[in-house]
Amino acid sequence: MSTILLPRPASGRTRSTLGTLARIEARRFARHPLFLFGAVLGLWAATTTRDEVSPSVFDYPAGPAFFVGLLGFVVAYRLTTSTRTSAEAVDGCPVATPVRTAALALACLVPFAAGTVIAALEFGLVRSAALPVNAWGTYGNVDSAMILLVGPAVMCLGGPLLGVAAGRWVRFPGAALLLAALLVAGSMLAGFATMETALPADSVAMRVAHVLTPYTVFGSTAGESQFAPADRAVVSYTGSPAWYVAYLVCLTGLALVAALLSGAEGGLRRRLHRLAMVLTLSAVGCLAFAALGGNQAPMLTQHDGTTVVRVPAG
Amino acid sequence: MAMATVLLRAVPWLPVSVLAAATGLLLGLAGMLGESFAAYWLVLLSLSLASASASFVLDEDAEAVVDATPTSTRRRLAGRLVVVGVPGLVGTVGLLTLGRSTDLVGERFVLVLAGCLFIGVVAAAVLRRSGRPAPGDLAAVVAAVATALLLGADPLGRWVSVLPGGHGRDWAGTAALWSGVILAATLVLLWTSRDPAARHTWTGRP
Repeated sequence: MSTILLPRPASGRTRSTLGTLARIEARRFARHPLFLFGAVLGLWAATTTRDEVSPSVFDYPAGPAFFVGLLGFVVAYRLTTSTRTSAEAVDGCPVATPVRTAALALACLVPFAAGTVIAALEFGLVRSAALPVNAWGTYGNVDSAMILLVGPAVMCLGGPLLGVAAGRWVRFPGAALLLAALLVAGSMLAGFATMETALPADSVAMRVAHVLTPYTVFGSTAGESQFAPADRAVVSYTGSPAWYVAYLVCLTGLALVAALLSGAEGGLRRRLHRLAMVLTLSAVGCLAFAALGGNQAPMLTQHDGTTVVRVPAG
Repeated sequence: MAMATVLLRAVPWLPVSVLAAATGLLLGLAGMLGESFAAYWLVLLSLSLASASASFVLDEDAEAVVDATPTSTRRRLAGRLVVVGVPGLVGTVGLLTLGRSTDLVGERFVLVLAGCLFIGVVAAAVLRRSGRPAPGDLAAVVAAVATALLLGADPLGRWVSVLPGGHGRDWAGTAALWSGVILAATLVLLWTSRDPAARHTWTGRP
């Protein structure tokens, strides 16, 4: 009698298949003209000389978030939907849809890496620049790192992952652009309209709305703020940047789960549902801390460093 | 009339109308925000969406069949261009309404809207000329990104503003710029819609 131990071919093959597919998808992502265009523009925006007044340091995250994160969303959507025309052949291959989706999700590490490099470069340049004493408003070192470095990097991962999820679930021409435009419009409304209009910015509803979207702004300078006097005062908006980044991480996880749920069956589907529930509860918790922590009202920091509560309009 | 009906039946109305509706929605939101920084960017975004909407009007999945019909490419193009009126009308109404309630935009922004629509159609026409029967999905991305960057970055700002805010500010240069864009787009459209058998003439006839 002899005992023969066989390896586990199924899981091993899945792992190697996933790796191979992920490498292929990562190459496709890295070579996509829109991604390359966005990465170059993001790099250019991060390294060009800046005006002393506007854009403020609070606008800098918009570079990687827009050029890599948002364009990455469109690229990921297009890569995900690119196999639709050959669906019959693709569906016939012995690789489950969640494995193909996981490969696309792993390919999103390409824009994440690009966005992290751009954000780190920008962070380093801003740190080494001779900024006015009030440049960061009420925010300290940790908050400034969250706003300028960690937040944009997470956005550069979350945007493409959301693109994969949208590509799996939303199926009509123009959907990528429509969703991207809604993301931008929603973020603009959350970032500025809640803080820079006559609405009560210190109310709980406005503070929650301010940090609800996947991109928001945590401050502005006299060039942008209609409430700030024109002596280069800086307005720090409400909310906690650190908890906002934690909320973004939860949203990123939810985007990944939503993408993987397409075509998932049986035990995997149940596990993903449980994970989605945990992530949703975490996101709600982080949102609450992000909205209610940090500044309770927009604060005005003068050029000499003194800080006062901003007087609301009207 | 019958030909126009047949041509219009093949138009992908879903993306055209949804993106046109989104254009109107964003202009409406900009109107609610008044003359703020966010409202200006919403106008810019809505113009990009209008451009993307116009990119879908040349989609023709049955190109191989349609090409065999005794109708010139220019005649078919003219029939399809009627559809540009959808985002055009929504955008014009939105801009005029916005112009009455705020100082953010003026009536002359309609010229900018027309230029953006032409950019969308030209992107689709060039891609279609390169062998894509339904270039809308790709052309929309190209047109929207190009328009957003053109309007947002203002690359010619040293000489002329691409999108000056408010009424009557530096409009002569801007109007000349966008008129030039429309003229150039028209020439490109004429070139891309030439009959394949008459590549050597500008008239499109063999």
